[in-house]
Amino acid sequence: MVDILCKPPSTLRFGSLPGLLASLPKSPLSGNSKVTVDLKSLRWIEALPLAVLAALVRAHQANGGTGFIQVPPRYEFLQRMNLFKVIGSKLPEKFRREPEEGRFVPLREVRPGQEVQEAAMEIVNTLKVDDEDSAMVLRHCVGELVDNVGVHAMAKTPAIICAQHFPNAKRTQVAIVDAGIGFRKSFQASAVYQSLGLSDRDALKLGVAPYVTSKPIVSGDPYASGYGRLGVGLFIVSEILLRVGGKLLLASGEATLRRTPAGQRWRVVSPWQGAVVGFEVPDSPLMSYRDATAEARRLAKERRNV
Amino acid sequence: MSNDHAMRVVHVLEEFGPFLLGRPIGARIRERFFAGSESEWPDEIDFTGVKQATESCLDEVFGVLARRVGAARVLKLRTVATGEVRDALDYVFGLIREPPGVPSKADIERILGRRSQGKRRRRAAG
Repeated sequence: MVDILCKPPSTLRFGSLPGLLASLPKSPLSGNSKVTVDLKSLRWIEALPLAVLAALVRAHQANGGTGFIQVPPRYEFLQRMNLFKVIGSKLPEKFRREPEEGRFVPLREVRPGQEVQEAAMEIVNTLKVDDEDSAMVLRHCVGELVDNVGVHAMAKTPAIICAQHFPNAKRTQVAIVDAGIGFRKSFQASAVYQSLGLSDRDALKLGVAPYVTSKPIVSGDPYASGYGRLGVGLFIVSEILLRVGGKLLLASGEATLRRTPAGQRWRVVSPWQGAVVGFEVPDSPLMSYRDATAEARRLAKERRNV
Repeated sequence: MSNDHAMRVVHVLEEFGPFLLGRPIGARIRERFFAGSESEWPDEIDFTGVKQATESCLDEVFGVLARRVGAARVLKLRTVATGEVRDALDYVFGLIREPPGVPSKADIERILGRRSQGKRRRRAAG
């Protein structure tokens, strides 16, 4: 049994993903290993890094390994977000559970199919999102992104999803993390892309381009419909988020893409086997959902005709 | 004998609720209303009361049908909807009318910001 100790930074925000990935062991891990995540000095953690840690341990367990979390002196938040429940660890709960409503949606596993709809509705309903446009954006993004995981991830373990509302910052953060094959392998599964020598960054670029899909036509596949896909879902999600003043963060393999209204940034990171998708939606969007969607669709059409 | 038949109208809201998100629910709608032969399909799909429908859901209903039986038959279907759902339907039906092609190798190279070998050679020669 090989012991692997990883110590993530003590402050883990939405934008801390590169630092978090750098602190983790390179995946996939050997089944003959014990991973310990040292969170003893953790001071702050948000939904996205939390989902990454849960997905790491779950995936490692599914490979036959063992995974542990070393907790900080106060671990109520981690417990309240169901981190230990998701990774199958039992810790005494020495506090009274306050209601989740309006604050967060704890970590849960999400499987494709019916749960797409359920996951999207749960987030908006639990967080009691007041602004109708903000709620529409959240439902749209969760619906499309969870749907993508079901089709593309091919993971041994279900994806992990969670969400958190920040009342002071007036934003909602959502994380959807899988330990599947990732963007590059998903594209490489299609004959169209096999000879192109795609990098992880290329694959993310294609993922956010309109009318590009990694899914080949598979007759008789009941879920993917057997007739191919539009390849426009992630593009529209990304463009809607920019227009309403939100953020999108994608990581797969050793590439990350962060898009905000101020611009986009690529980084090379320690590899993540699978896909990390995080996004934030402001409580008061800069533009209505309807207008943002119309602009995103118009842009998709324009790019198609280039 | 008359060729007239009563118009068959189906109401999406009653069975599927006001939010139609992602492909699985689109597949359920398609299987519920369009499982039979084309002659048994409804004439009108009424989305009244539905508040939100994603492109992927509507493509799973109408796009899949179009790819299966041809665009002309699907474009004959009447849809009733307003607001965001009308917008999404118009977008998806627009794609059925003019389907986006599968990107060529040159398209992919362009998206990736790579210059094709041919262009490079021509530029070097010119």
